[in-house]
Amino acid sequence: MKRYLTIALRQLAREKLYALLNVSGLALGLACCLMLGLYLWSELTYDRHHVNHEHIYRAATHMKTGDGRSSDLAITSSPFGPMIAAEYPEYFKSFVRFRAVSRSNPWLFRYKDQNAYWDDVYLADANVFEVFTHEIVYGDPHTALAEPNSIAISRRMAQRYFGNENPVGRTLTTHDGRSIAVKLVFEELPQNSHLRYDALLSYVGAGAEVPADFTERLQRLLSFGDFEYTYFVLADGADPREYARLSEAFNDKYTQMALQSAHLEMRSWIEPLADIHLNSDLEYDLPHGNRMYLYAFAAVAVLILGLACINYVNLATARAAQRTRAIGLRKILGAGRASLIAQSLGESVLFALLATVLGVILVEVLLSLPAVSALFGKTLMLDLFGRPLLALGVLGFGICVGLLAGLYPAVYLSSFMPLTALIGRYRPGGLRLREALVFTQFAISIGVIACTLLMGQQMRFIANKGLGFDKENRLLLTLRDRSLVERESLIATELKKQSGVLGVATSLTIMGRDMPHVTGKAQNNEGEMVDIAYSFFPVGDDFIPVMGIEVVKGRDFSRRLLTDVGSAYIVNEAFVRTMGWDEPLGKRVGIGASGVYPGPVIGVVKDFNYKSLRTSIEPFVMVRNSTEGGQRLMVVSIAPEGIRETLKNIQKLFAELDPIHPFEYTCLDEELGRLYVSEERLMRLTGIFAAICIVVACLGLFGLAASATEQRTKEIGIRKVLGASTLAIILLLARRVLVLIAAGAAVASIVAWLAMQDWLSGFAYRAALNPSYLLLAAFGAGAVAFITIALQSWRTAHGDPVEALRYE
Amino acid sequence: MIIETEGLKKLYRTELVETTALDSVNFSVDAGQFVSIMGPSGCGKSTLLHILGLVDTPSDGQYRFLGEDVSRYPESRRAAIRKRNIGFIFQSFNLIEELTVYENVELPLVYAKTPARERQAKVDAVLERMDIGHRRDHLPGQLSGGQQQRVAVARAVVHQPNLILADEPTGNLDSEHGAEVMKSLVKLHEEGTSIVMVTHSPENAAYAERTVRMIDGRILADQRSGS
Repeated sequence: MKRYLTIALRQLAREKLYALLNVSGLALGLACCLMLGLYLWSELTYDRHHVNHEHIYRAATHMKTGDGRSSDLAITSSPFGPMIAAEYPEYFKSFVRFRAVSRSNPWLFRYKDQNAYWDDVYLADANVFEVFTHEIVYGDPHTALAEPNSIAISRRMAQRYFGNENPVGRTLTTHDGRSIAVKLVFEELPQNSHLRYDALLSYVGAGAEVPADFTERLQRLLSFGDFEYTYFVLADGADPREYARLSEAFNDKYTQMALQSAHLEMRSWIEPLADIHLNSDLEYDLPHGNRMYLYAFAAVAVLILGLACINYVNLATARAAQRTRAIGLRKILGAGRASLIAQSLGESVLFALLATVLGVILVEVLLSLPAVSALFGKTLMLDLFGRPLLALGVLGFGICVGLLAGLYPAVYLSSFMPLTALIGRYRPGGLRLREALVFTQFAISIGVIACTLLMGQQMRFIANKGLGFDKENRLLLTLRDRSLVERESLIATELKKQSGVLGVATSLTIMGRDMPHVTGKAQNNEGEMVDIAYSFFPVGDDFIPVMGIEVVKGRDFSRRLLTDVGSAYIVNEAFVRTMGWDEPLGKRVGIGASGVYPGPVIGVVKDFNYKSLRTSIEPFVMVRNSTEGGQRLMVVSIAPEGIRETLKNIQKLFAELDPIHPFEYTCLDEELGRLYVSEERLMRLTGIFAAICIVVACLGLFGLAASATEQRTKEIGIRKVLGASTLAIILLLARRVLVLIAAGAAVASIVAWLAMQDWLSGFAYRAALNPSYLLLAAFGAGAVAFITIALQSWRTAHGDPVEALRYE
Repeated sequence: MIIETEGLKKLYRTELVETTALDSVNFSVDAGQFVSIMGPSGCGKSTLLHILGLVDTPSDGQYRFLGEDVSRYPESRRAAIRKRNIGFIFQSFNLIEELTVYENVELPLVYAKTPARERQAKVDAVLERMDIGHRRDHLPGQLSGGQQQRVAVARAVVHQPNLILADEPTGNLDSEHGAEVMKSLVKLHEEGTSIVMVTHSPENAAYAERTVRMIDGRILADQRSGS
């Protein structure tokens, strides 16, 4: 063993270039595998840190309207959890509800002079810490949320307001002036939790209770507007499959008649906690992963490592000519095939171990970069010293890679007949295998590059596609306080006076954010009120002109007409098409299953994309809202010139109008861009992997070119004597490889095209794929390969012929 | 008799041409004999040497080595016999570049699975004998031609083979170093080792007690030295 290691090290020192190429390629491949492996592990182990995770399920709701439209929702109504748990206590051990109170707008919490907004704030039942595992820093988890106006906060939130002191017993003030007592501090939840939060408010006294009144209870059972996530812990031995029967029986008892009269169907099912992140695809869900993307990343990791191993095999077999004499001699002296194989494998394992060390260093450096965390959307850590099992696993993996990569060269090199090898009659074979490997490497690389380019085309299409409204230079300001909402007109007037402000409008929500999806009533051509599902969009003054939406029929809401408030509707063209209206104006529309607040359609707007471009435009209804509601979104259209000055003036105005709440704004185009964050991430990662694939492939090509040049030095010398130019020599060496690349490009193009068609099927709006990107990928790879070969063989190709002849 | 061939033939075939390298060669060597084989280039002397060394196989005929018919043995059996009984000295030394002098000489003992201590003793002894012990830790690239060939001779004898096969052992050396190598071979012969040497040089052939002349794959003459 020591001898093999010594010889391998000396071989490494003698052939530094090949050692460098091999170790670099393997290190890059191993580093990619490690990073993607960490990411995959994180994605695949969501929520498994909860001790009870195997017994925790989340309830989901299926709704079907009378017109046949169905929705699958990640949410339930508020009383559903406690009512069904009370109905079947032998089946349900407990339940926990989380209501997302900050979903539309962050919550402001104040302590002394510290103000901050928080995105992830939930109301939660008091037993949340018994069901879900938290690392408690301060406070009693059994009683923390048992009383009204209590809050449990994360360590991060605690440090923001209280530094390192124990804040239990202190009081925070909310945006609406309520005092909330801090009862508990918990450590940040692990990154691989599907539900993460900074603050849990006590649900007690905040609508947690099941109404005693039948009508109110029924109404709340059928209301899904509160974004309530309900989790159940099943009793020991309870069969999850039994839930369907129990929930159906529950619906039969409590909601069936109401549902039938509204021509609605509703049923509930449960999904295991650990399945939510990757296997759940529901509306109103929390951000979750994409299983198909994980498969893609896993495939990429394997591909890149495969490319690096292919490099090793290629370089080792190409270098065989330099080893034949020594191998022949060893055989003459009595070496058995096993000892030659062991020696060769020892060399490959040494390379792999060096590459593993280098790869680990590379991973540690990359994971410390914020850009890499942003790319993955989370912070990943290797921490081998803290995880000895992982360290052993990485080492073992490196050894396996060395054995795998080195197996073919070991068997191949040990197969030489001694005499033929010794007297130099041997010529390195395995050419077809090496060609097949080069073909495979470049086919993979070109395929990945082509996918990246085509994805980029779709993302540009999304970025540039007209959405039917103006998204540029639109600031979104949140009026947090009721007093501000009531002064909405005054604020709008003052804002319009600011230079740079072109228009001001209000609404309760905005394109790209959640919009209530309801079933209501509308009058058909025969005058009957029929069911129709639509998105419900409450707006204020001037929304349509400020957003640049086109009115194709009728009119916009009028300030002068009180009847326009709450009982006049504007619909989109999709609504008109769905209803099959010949004449939409004057048709009556009502809200909800019973069609309350009936009113006429006063206008039709041109269809615009109010959701992501993954979904097609569906019917929606705009209604002119009153100042009821408590929070209002203000849309400010600003001039593209002097934006900084305009912002400063707006901020100053708000500081005077609302000295309590810190000024905050977002830009509509940035918000809309965030709808595609997972596609952007996939595209960026694919682009990076494409670059890595090409680099690894070219590392191998560099080595092969060096080997080929060396072996053909005499031939090159003779050709030069006979008059061949430098370019002709380089083309001679590159010709075969370029043919292989062309063949690889053909195969890769077909695969990439099909893969992208499949990916695009997830978008309702797609760019027409441009085949010239396939050509671009092929030519790009070919050019890089040519340059690589040219760089390596330049010296021999350009030198004096006598040097080449003298080499022999 | 250590070597005995009868009707030995070796043919090389390509798609178009069949070349007879050896044509019905009858050749024998007694234990302890020093035989040189001479002839023009392409006469088949190296081919004969390779077959005698069990590095190549005859196309036809019989070859008995130490009384055993090895004509049709597979490579694995031939390797086993080679490493126990035969030492090789090549014209171009054929030392392994990444091994030191010590490691090159040690190699046959390693493949013969000689225990480490015994290996060390034998290698040290033979290096001293060849007067190359002071270069034990050097690599072949750091030695002169004469020194490299002394290392090759040391490697050929370290496992005390019954037979040494030398193919133009002085071909790449100047006369002074060539003479040194020949003296080493003579000494080995005096100690009882059988030697078969291929050479172009009549001066070198004179060191042998018997000279075999070949032409066109056949033995033309087989003379005792001095006759």
